[in-house]
Amino acid sequence: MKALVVEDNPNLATSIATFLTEAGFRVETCDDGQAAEQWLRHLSFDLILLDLGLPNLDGIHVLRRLRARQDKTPVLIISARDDLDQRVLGLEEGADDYLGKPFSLVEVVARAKALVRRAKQFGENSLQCGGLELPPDSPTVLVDGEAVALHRREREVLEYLLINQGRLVSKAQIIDRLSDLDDAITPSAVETYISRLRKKIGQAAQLRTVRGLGYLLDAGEPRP
Amino acid sequence: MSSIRARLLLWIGLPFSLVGILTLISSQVVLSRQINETFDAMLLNAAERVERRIHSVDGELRINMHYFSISTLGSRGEGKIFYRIRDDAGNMLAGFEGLEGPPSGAATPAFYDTYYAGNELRAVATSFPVVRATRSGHIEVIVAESTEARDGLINDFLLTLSGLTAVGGLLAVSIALLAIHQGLAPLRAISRGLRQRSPNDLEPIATQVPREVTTLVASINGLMARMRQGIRNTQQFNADVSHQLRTPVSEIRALAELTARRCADPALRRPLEEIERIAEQAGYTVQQLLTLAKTRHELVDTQALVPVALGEVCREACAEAAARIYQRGQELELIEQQAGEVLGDPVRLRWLMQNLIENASQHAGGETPYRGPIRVRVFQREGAPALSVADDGVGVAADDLARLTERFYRASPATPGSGLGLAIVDEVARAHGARLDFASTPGQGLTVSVVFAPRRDADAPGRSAAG
Repeated sequence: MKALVVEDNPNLATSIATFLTEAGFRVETCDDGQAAEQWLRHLSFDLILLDLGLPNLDGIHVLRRLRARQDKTPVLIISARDDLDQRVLGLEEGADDYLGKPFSLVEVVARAKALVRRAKQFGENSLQCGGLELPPDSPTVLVDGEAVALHRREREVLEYLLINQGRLVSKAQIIDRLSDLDDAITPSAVETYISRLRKKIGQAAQLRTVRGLGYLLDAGEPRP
Repeated sequence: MSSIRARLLLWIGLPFSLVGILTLISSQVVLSRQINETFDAMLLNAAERVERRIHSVDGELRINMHYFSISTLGSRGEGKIFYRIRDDAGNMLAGFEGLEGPPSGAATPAFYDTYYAGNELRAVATSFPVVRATRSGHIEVIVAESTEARDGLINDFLLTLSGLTAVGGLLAVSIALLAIHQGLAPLRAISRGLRQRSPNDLEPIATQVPREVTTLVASINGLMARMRQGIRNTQQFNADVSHQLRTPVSEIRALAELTARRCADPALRRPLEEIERIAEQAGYTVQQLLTLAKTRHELVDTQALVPVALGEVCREACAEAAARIYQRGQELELIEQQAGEVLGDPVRLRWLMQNLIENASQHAGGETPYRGPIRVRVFQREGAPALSVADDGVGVAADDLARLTERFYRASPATPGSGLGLAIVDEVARAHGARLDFASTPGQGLTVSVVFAPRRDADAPGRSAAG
């Protein structure tokens, strides 16, 4: 997986690049908006980490031109301009996620991985979370290494939760994702799938119901 | 003299009273003279009528007092009449011998005051020649009348006049009060307008005001402009400082994290992780300071507020916080009832929610990390949209509740956090004219409620001008 880190602060650029490299990315760094814009015209990446305050060309413009070219590469904005207006602007201009400075490098890597996972959700890689592994095109899920059979709908729900692991997923989002024209899903059906899934995955990962909000899948083992 | 009303009343009332008193005094002088003159004339007239009653009997002058009555103005019953009639030889013809004559050398007729038989008297002494048959001579007549009648009349007049003056005076004072009330109306309108303003409104007073108070209004407007500028400068400085600190703090944190990851020596790892933790804390504080700088309620533009669905704000803030909350071993719950919309700034309302949730998450446990539910509720309280965030943590002592919104106040210094979260919540709530309520039972958790003003549809908030 190739990542481009566009960040003009050398200390931050180096730190991020190091962590991403250790997480399995091949990383290029670039410290200038204009240069980044040139790189992105000619090279393709799986992920772009983009600072907003850049010399020569602002990060927002780099993003805007990228999206204007119909380039759908996931973009994670990392910026010191962390007010909600900037966050909203970034996301409106087509960024996939936004992280304000100062951030934890672990968090950067987690978000980077999540973005790639979501971009490649129909790809050939297994989806993983804690002790769960969902191989592509398989009717079974590996729970702590053991294959457990899944109903078609259960698999779809689990896949969606795995893609969005560590984020809150609302019931409406699941219904929206699963329903098609001739087969509408009801909220109670979602509840049924979730409760069956919970039994099947056991303690391999935490599938939580957040009352009034939706569901949250994560690896479990809460931080002390 | 602190009241304009009292001042005006004094300066209107004092001259009016003086004029009234002067009128009364001069009236008394003029009236007494007039009444005395009239009474004196009647008295003289009565004395002169005695002449017709005199006849001579055998060369003796006699006076026929049958059917004679001395009628004066005062002889309505309350006055007493005394008389003394003597011939020029000094022989008494009729009347009271003891009645004193006029002071010697007085012209005739002579009016004088005297005293007889316990009565204050006004007397007239006159003499006229009498020719009856063979006799001719002079007759001296003194008629005296008690003064009660004329005094009573003067008093009656003065009493009526005083009454009229008093009524007139009261009328004048009432008119003056009304005039003062009317005259001060623009001032009242201005103060009412200022009072009704939302606390964050530092816009100039734009109402038409009378010429006399334009200077005052201009001064108030100038003061407000300076306050606004002052707050803006502080805010800008705060924002600049936070922003400038943010990049170095990010670098320290990233480098510490990177170095700790690469460091194999546990003796070095510990301090590196500590640096990372401190940098994280500093970064959070810097971030919150920046947010606080942007939430100063005096600067929220009330004109730019839009209808915001409270439920949606809460849902978004909860969704954003959920993963973090569960990682900390806490639970999150949203109980959403029909709350309706508030007129507000969606960005700042979201900050408010985020800070309320974060506050519960970080501080509910007191000295130890909190493990328990955080319940977010959206509801209506007495018809007003409201939201609350409740936890089952250690709670806050009643004495400390009021200090929660103080900047940098932290119930227990050991817990992380910037000490700014609830200050931000307070600023945002005030900017929205919302009330912040804290309810806590120590040992059973804290509930923070934000109750918004009920939204009236035709009601644009903020500058309702003066009046």
